[in-house]
Amino acid sequence: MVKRIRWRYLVLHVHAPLDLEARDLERSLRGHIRMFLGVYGLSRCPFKLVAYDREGKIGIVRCPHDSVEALRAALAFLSDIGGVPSSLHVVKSSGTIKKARKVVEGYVEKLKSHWALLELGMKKPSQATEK
Amino acid sequence: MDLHVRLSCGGDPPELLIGMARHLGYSLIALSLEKEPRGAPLEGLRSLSREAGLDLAFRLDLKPSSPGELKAWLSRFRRRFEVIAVYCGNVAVARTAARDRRIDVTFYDLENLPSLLDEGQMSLLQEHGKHIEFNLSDMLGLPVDKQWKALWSYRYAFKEAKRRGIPIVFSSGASRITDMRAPRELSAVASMLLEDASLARSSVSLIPARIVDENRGKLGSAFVQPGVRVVDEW
Repeated sequence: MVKRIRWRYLVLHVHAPLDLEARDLERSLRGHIRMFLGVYGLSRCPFKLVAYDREGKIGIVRCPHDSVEALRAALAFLSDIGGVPSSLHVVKSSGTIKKARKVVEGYVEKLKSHWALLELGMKKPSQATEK
Repeated sequence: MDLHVRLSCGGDPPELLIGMARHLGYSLIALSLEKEPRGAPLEGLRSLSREAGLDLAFRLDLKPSSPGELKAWLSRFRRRFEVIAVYCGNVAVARTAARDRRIDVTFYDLENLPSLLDEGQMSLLQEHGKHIEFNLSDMLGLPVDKQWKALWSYRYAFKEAKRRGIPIVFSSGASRITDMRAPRELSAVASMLLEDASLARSSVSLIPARIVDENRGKLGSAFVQPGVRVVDEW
């Protein structure tokens, strides 16, 4: 009998002063992870961006349970997205997508407001007041 | 905890760094300075971080060019900071840093890592119980070919350090909030380099916390010398 893959769902928070679309984020992640782990590494760590909230900058990534640590390490080395200094923070790792979505719902407002304050601080005063 | 968050001219202000540390889930960070600050902004930062629910320690990063300079700085600054770290850019400084008991943490020039962290240095670090620090932010700006070489050097050095029981600390070394990483991410990087999950967790949490605790005890008024402290006065 073929063994079922045990998936993990990582809730990611994107720290970037960018308005990214889901496909742009997935492309950047794939490019970075292929660069960091190589093609063989990527084949052992086949991840997929399952959902992404553009406004809250929170996404859910699915990967096999035994490659969570490799994915976390690879994500720690991500320093820019499209040339803009950025980072990713794994908020929570879950065994089911239902739980991951619940975490997103619970965290989205908190993270959004917290990150908005930090993002405002990253900009120069002249940029922060621009409309 | 993150033992190395840098305050620098080109980096983000300390308020942002403290806010980001809280956002990432840290309970304690060590803010590092490269020279003694003028005025007294440190207490203001401590109260700010206390309000944010974060314990703040201060650390001094020394970048001496010679052992004489290192010793002069140590006698001047040791009692003023909770953690003293030395950037080892050459062999003479690295050897002195490994011997001097006033130093807590040593970190190394990435370009010369294999020659700096050689057998002799490892023996001294082991004998004197000094820590080796890995700063993730030093890796982030590197081009890929230098990044893999540095990772290879660290992996080799950590294998030897692990065999000898030399404590290793993993920190972000960030001066901007986008260079800061959550504790679990640092632990994953540590796990990749050390090939030992429990040691990786210790190198991000237990070992740095122990350094700060021990030094806070030493900086307290009750401390006389290692193993001797004033319990009560009459």
